[in-house]
Formats: sequence, structure tokens, C-alpha cells
Amino acid sequence: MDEKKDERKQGPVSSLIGYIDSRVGFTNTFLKPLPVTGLNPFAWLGALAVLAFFAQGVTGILMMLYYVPTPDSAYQTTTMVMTKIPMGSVLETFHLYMAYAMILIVFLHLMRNYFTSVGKKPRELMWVVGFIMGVLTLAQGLTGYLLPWSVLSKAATDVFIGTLQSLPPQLFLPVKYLLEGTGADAQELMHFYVFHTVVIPFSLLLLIVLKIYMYEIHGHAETGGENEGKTVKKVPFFWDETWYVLMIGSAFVAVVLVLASVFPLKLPPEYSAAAAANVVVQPDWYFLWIYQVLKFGIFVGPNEPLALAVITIIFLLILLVPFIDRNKERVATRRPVYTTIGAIFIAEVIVLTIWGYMTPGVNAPNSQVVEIVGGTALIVGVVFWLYFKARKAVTRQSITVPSVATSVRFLKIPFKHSRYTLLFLVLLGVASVSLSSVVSTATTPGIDYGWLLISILVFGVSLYSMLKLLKALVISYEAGRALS
Amino acid sequence: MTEGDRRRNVMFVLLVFIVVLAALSWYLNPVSQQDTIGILLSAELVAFSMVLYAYTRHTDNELSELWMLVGASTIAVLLGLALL
Repeated sequence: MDEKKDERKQGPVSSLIGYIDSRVGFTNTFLKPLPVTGLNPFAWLGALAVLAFFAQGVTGILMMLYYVPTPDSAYQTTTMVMTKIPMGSVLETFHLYMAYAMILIVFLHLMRNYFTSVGKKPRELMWVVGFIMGVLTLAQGLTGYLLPWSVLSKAATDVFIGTLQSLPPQLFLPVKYLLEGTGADAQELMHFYVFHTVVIPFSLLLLIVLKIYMYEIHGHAETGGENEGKTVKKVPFFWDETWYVLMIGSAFVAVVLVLASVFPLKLPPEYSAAAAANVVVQPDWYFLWIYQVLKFGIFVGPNEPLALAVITIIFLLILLVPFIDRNKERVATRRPVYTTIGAIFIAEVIVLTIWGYMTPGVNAPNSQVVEIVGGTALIVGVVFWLYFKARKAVTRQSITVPSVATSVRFLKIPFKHSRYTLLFLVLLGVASVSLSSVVSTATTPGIDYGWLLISILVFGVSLYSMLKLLKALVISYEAGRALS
Repeated sequence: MTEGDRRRNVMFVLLVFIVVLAALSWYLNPVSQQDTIGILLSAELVAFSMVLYAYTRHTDNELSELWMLVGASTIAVLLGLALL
């Protein structure tokens, strides 16, 4: 009787949920209560990636009802879905944009977990599983790209497989047979189709289950900061957290759906050997940064294996982060070296992606590589070094240093001090031009030492002025805010 | 009006809006007007997201007028897009 009274008080939705839960027992066995601090979208990037995965599963199955994976029919059936089937164009575009969103979210999830150190002991294997899932997500994008059989997708896939030729034959041949069989178009398309619709999705599904299992074992990771060591109020997963995830999930799906409706996919022409000969190969945006690395002057031609080695090392380093950074500290502002490395990595990926997009098929001379890659690392490194130095100075003056979350307000500086920002931008321009001049003068035969010296001097003075300006701004900002 | 009543009213209005929009979508052509249907579905999802926001009270805060305004403006923009 009492139970019935309680159910009546709770309202129809809650009582239905209570009825189901009392029979299934989710709340007692599964998905433990979470800290209320977890009610922010950044803590749920993984869940959004899983949502994107399932959304693609549903739309993918609907597309499979019509799609025929043969070179003669792939393009026609894809076009037919887009033009004849009800909601077909939205379906195809939504599937594609959801894949883009998933890749972006997986990257954000990776970087968020890097900066908040949630992969540290005892969650190292969760990081490893997450990394493998990230690689599989990229593989899912790669295999799906070929399926419409457009001239762009086929040409880019051929270039990708061609790049793998620089691997040792013991490695290349098994990979080649796995990806394209004997090399016939029909086999290649069928292999990619099977990987895209069976092998990778089921592997991802298994890994999602494994990751949720590990999440249950270890619980929600504390990210340090303001609430470090404090007892934080917890909210039950069912249904408080569930409603929250549904809320942000609905908003997320709405964004992707509206983009798919307003900007429908326009397929490039169908693949043919003649059409492929005239096309400038460009991979999808998420591979552009790797594509740009492959175009570095130093890696072009016989040095291509070196590029693959560098990319492999970058991926291995990401995989091994929790085993390399074994310090117990989790707060980003107290891990200056790793935070700066993470920021440089993000900046380089963005810069290389834009660079790759703007220069399709054009190799990058070594001098440009030094300027752009080195310049980006230098600027981000200097900004972060100054930021951490200023924080240290403020701490020495016994002023409370704010936490990671509130430090984001640091970004307000440029807008609050527009004159100094303008001056900083002018100095940045002078520094970039002079650095460019240093590199090009130093790499041109018959070096003009006079000009080189002037360029170095101008670069040094502008860099020094930028450092001074930034330091003054950061210290005044931190001190002013902490005192207020 | 209590906070609970306020939330219930917001949810009621939004749920009615979702039902009306779903009924309206039913009469559109799913081939030639699929982009409009897609935009209307997005508006419904935003409204559903707002319903969930109004339904849950994790931090004992009052219903944020700012968030309601953001949601309502988004829906208005989406409806405008659908009409274009």
C-alpha cells in the first residue's frame, strides 16, 4: 500500500520508471550515482560519441536497404537514395555529418581527458581502450568515404593505399589484401563495405561495452580543481543523469539534423579512370593534417616511410600518455609541461588541417614547414610559458590562484585591452615576416649575411616586445582578478 | 505561482508545440520538402531538450530565463528557416 502511495505521489512518468526499475534493477546494479559536478556537457563527450555511433548505426542500416556495393551500382544507388527515397537526402547527409560530429567529439573527448588526466591510475586501460576506439572511428570514416564511389573518394582511397606501399612488404601485403584483395575495384569496394558495416561497428560496440564496464568499476573520475578532496553531492544515474544526457543529446542531434537539412550533401561525379586522372586528390577534413605531414618537403619521395614513422610515433605517444605522465597531479594548471604540449598539439593539428585544405596536391617546402610548424609551436609555447610564469609570480605574492575552469576567463584579456591586442598583432605580424625572412635567407644558396642579421634582430626585438607585453597583461589580469 | 507550477506550464506549452509541429510535418511531402521536415524535426528536438531541462531540478536552481530565451530564439530561427 505504502509503495502504491509513493508511486502516486511521484507522478506518472516517475512511477512508470520506478515500476520498470523495480523489475529490472538497474539502479541497484548498474551505473552508480555521479557527482553533481558531472552535470556539464564536457563530462559527457564520450556519451555523445556513443549517441553519434548509434545514430549512424540506425541511418546506416536504412541506407543499406538500398545501397548495392558494386562499382556499377554504388554511385547510382547512393544518388537514388538521395533523390527518390523519402527523406533520403537528409538521411545520407545526416549520416555523413554525424560521422564528422563523432570524429570531432572523439577528438575533444581525447583532449579533455588529456588535460584533466582522467586516464591516470587506475584508468590507464580505459585510456588505451578509448584510444583504440578513436582509431577505429577514423577507420570507420576512411572506409565509409569510399562507398559512394565518387571520383574524389576513390582517388583519395587509392592514394591512401599507395602511401602504405612504403611500409615493409611483410606489413604492406597483408594490409593490402585485407583492404582491397587482389586490387580489382569490385573487391576493394566489397572489402571496404564489409569493414564499414560489420567489422568496425561490431568492434566499436564491444569496446563501448568494455569501456562502460570499466567505468562502472572505477566510477566517475575526479578532475581535481576547486572540489578536490571535498565531498560533492551525488545524483542518481537513473534518472537524473539520464535526463541530463538526453537533454544535451537531443540538442546535439538537433544541431546535426538542421545542418543536414540546410546544407545537403552534393556528391562529386562518379568514379571513372578518365575522371580520376584530372582530379586533385584531397582526403576528408579529419585526415588533412596527416595528409599535410606527408606533403612536407623532407618526407616527399623516398623519405615517405619516415613520414609514416613520425605519424606512428605521434599516435603511440598519445596511446602511452598515462604511462609516461605518471605524476599524480591532475589539475592542468599545475602540469605546465604536459598542458603546453597538449595545447601545441591542438594548435598544430588545426594549423596543418587548414594548411592541407588550402594547398591540395602542393608539396610544402622545408622552409615553410619550419616557419609554420615551428612558428605555431613557438607562439603557443611562449604564450603558455608566460601564463604559467605569471601564475607562479602571483602565487609567490600569496594571492589565491584560480582553478582551471575559472582560468578560461583568461581569454577575455584580448577583448578588454583592445589597443594592446592591436599592438600585439602588429608585433606578431612583424615577428612572422622576420622569421620567414630568416628561414628563407638562411636556406637560399649564397647567404646574404647582412640581411640575415637584420632579420634576426627584428625577429628578436619583436619577440621580446611581445613577451613583455603579454607578461604585463597576464600579471595585471591575474593580480587584479585575484585581489577583486 | 510556485516554481513547480512554472515548470509544469513551460513543459505543457512545449509539449503542445511538439505535437502541433509533428502533426504539421505529417502533411509535408517527404521527398520534395524533406529539408523543411528536417528543420521542423530539429525544432522539435530543441523543444524536447527544453522540456527535459524544465523537468529536471538537479541543483535546486530556478528555471533559467536566459536558457529558456536561448531555446525559444533557436526554435524561432528554425521555424523561420523552415518557412524560407
